[in-house]
Amino acid sequence: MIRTDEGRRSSRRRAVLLISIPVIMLAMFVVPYTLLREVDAWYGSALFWMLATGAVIALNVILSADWED
Amino acid sequence: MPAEWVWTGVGVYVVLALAAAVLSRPGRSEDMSAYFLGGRRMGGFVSAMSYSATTYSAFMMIGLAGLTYAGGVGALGFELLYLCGVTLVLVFGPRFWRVGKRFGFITPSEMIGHRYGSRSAGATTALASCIFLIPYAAVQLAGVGYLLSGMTGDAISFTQGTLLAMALAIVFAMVAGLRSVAWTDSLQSVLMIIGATLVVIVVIWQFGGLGAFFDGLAEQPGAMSVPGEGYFTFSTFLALTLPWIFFSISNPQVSQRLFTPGSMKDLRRMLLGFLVFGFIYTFVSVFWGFAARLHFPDLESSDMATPTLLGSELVPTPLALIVMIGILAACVSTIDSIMLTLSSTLSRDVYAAVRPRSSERGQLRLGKLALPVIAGLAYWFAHLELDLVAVLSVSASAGLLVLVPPTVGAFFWKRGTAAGVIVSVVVAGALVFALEATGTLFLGQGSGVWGLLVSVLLFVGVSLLTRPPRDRAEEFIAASRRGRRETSDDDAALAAQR
Repeated sequence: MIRTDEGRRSSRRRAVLLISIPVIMLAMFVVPYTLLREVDAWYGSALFWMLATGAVIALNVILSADWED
Repeated sequence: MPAEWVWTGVGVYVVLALAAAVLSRPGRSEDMSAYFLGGRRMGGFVSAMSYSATTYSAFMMIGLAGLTYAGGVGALGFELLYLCGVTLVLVFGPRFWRVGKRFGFITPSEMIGHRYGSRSAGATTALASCIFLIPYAAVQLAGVGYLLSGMTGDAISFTQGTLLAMALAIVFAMVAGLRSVAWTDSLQSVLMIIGATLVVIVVIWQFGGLGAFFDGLAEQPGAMSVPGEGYFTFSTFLALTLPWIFFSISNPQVSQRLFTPGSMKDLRRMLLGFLVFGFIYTFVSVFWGFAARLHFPDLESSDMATPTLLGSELVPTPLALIVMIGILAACVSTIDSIMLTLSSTLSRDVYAAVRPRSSERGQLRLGKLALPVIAGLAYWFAHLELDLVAVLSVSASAGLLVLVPPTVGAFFWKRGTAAGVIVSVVVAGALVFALEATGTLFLGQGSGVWGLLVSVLLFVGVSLLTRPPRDRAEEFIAASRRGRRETSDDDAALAAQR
């Protein structure tokens, strides 16, 4: 029973992490064209896109950690 | 840069790459899996470097730098969104790998044909791949032409550059199939990432530091925001980005690589290695575009941004030569991978569909014969000398977007049918072709947006009106989900049956 609950929690955590990737990508479309539209400097869209990509790469590292033969 | 220097550099590269290709050869590759997939035993590092080299090519260092030169920071967002799209490998990578091992698939089209129970569906996706990938290979050839002619002031002509790239691609693919391609790719990737990063460091130093570099950009209003100066309208950004987000599953020369790692750990190394490589490479390419923009604001064509930067006094000649050879190698590595994928596709999915009793050896022989023919077609396209390398490249990949719904459906929608695949690929593919040929921007959106939308609607609609291969779908999807250990006992038997 405990293992089942753990399994469910793990699946839920995995699903949340996985879904956060398309959410971040959607933000990469929307934020630069709205909130950062007038920020014409390196700390505007450029920094946002790079940080968002860093987050996506980190999520890939976490979500593929259990890939085993 | 003097042409003698360039030819000497090319000579050294050819010798090194040929040595890598020959060393990669483990013996005679007598079957399709050994030749086209490296026997499904590719290691993680080589897979990652080769995946990177296949994906990143003339487009990055010439096209993306050119796009940055022309449109500013939007180019960074476009390319980073593509990189994030490779996350699809997180979902599809293990599934491709498992079904490839279980059913013995050589090509993604073969997988589609099997999953939907129809060789015609496989042949249709195979032909669509050929129609759209040959122009894509041509883009890479044109990239070499621009690079060599730009850096030598036409001492090496566009034609000589494209001929050289074509000849090298044929040789690298013929020596040992995927193994020689992957080893030469790895050599190129390592060389390129080191050389290109050194250029960034040197150019920043030449500009007087990072602060001076950003001060220069601050004097160009709109360079660091979107739509900025107006090039990257949201429609343009979407039209460029959308095909690239799905690149990892729509383009068979990269999705075929999901069949090749020796283990799931190797697959993981391939994915993560590529993401890190891509992040650095994107930053470097965009930086080059900005550097050219600041130092050479009046270039006739944005595609000349990189050749001009490398040929200038900002970059020491030996370093520029190393990077130039790296770009040449990057173009070749993309072309030979595409040639390899298309030749396996033609022999496995088209020839074998027409002649179902053809032997494995016969298919391999035909595949090898197809290699120079595909290269010749790409060479012809390259000589159309279309202006903006990046835009043509994206147009070609927009056509391959029509393969996304059948691929996603194969793993996640049991109701999908062969008729749905055939109709969606043919009609949506023809639509993309027509929009590109006539230069039509329907409702202001690019061909990829319409191609994807129409292919989804047709795939779902026609599938719902036709009878699905339920047993096949159940078996395929179960195999894609189960772990290797559970299926290992019957892997060999099933592969042998096929």
